[in-house]
Amino acid sequence: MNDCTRFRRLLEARLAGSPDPEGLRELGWHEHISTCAACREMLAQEEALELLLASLPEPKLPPALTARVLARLRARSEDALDRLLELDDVQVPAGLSQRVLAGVAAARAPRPRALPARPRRIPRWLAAAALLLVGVGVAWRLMRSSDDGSSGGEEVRIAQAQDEELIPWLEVLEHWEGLQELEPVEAEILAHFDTSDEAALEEGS
Amino acid sequence: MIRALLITVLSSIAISSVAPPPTSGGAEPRVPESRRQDAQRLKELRARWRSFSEEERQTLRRRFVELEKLPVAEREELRQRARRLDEIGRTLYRSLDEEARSQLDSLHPPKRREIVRGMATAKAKDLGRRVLAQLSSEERERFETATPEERGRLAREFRQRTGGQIDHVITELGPEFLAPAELERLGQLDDHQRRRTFLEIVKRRVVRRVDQRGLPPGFSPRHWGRMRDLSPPEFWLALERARRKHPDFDWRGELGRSKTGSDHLLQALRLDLDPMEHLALSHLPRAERGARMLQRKRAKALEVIRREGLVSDEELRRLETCPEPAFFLAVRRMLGADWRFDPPRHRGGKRRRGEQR
Repeated sequence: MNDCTRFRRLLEARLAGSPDPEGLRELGWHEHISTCAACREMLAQEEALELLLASLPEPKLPPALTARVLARLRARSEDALDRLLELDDVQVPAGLSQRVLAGVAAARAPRPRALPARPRRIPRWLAAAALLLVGVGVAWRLMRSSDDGSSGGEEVRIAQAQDEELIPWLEVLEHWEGLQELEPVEAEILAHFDTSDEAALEEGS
Repeated sequence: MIRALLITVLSSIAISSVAPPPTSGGAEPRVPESRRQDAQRLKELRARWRSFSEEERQTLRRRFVELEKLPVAEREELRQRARRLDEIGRTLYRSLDEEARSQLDSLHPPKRREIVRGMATAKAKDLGRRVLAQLSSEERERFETATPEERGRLAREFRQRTGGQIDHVITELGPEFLAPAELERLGQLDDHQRRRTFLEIVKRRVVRRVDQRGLPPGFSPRHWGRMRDLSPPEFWLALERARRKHPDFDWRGELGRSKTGSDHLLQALRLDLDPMEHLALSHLPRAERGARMLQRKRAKALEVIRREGLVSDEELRRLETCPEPAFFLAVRRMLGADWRFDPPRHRGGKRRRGEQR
């Protein structure tokens, strides 16, 4: 096993589980990186992707998504879907469905160069097939969870989606009362001045 | 395998929808620094959300409903200000002395967060008072009555003055307190880095002063040891508190100018910068704690106004009975750079702030 293979195995091992950019950053200290541009490039791409995945919001799942996905899948490939459902146990890693949905949403957003330019290893048709497969997994998971008899499941999902919208605004919501207490001039000064200004005022006095 | 598929799917969509321009070299970062920071911030916010009690979450959800009613630009402004308050809260917390820190840490987490937020708001209001106190009454009035857009422009204009002071200190004291390599880099620093360097110089000067002259009586060497380890902005906040507790702390190694009535008044209004004041009232609900703090500040301010003869007897009587917002507005005017007063015991003529008695 050469150095590149050894390093890439190490990298693969770190990529399991939920996104962890910090974990990958540690690999930047690996000896092999200092001499191998290809592996360095690969690590940079993986780091960028991990950061992207870690930054994506948990997606909001519209209430009728399950029904719509299943209906469209059935319309396209009835047999394939039924065969898949007969398997009874589709292995979908925890959090994958959310990550795929969020990834698709993020990729569609007009954000130039948000994703690393990564060499395409497999053809488009295979990528499309992969998306279909993952979509089935998502639909299957959603369907199973709604069939579990947990009547509040939908409400919980909606509540979670609302919380996801709220989280980026958490600082405002936490300081809500304090922000109301500030007069307009105080708020403006807060936005523009900091500790260095205070110290400078003191120096000048 | 799943990951490879996921990556391929995402990459394929991205490549088909957005064709990035070819980069000239491999060294260019793929994710801009701001995106990295946003990702990190979101991660922290999620972790923070998970740490909240259900009761706290309900309160935040109710506020979110209110927030969504505001125009987008206003929400963004609030976000910037809230981030500053958050940053102030974190810096304050790290700069606390052992006693205050251990008392704060012993509180129930929601209460602890509430107290830190209260301290951050008090600090923000104090910053406002101090900046306003540097302006002439004309400038202050222009600032207070300006449109929101105009206010931002004026704030940036006023800030250039402190920028000038910072440059002056760096030029004057840099050669004495910075290493040769740091001095060489001065020309390449951006505004944020220059301000950081300025605070570093201030810290080094105070540390040298204490090394030469020792600590004021009653100042614990252990506390000083902790202070020395703080970052320059944290050190500054800890120094401010230390100076309030030990007024004879000769931190600049020179005789400061004698204190004016306005200086004493400013100190009285800074009562709520003392973490122990917040902690002493921590058993009260937030609104009641705020009201109590205002009462105490008002009483202290009146005491100084009376003692220093900052206003006429008639004006003093008016102040004693006027409602709270008007009282603090009137008091703020007394902190202005050109505040004039004609106290009964000095009827010989008006005196400007800063003049000796």
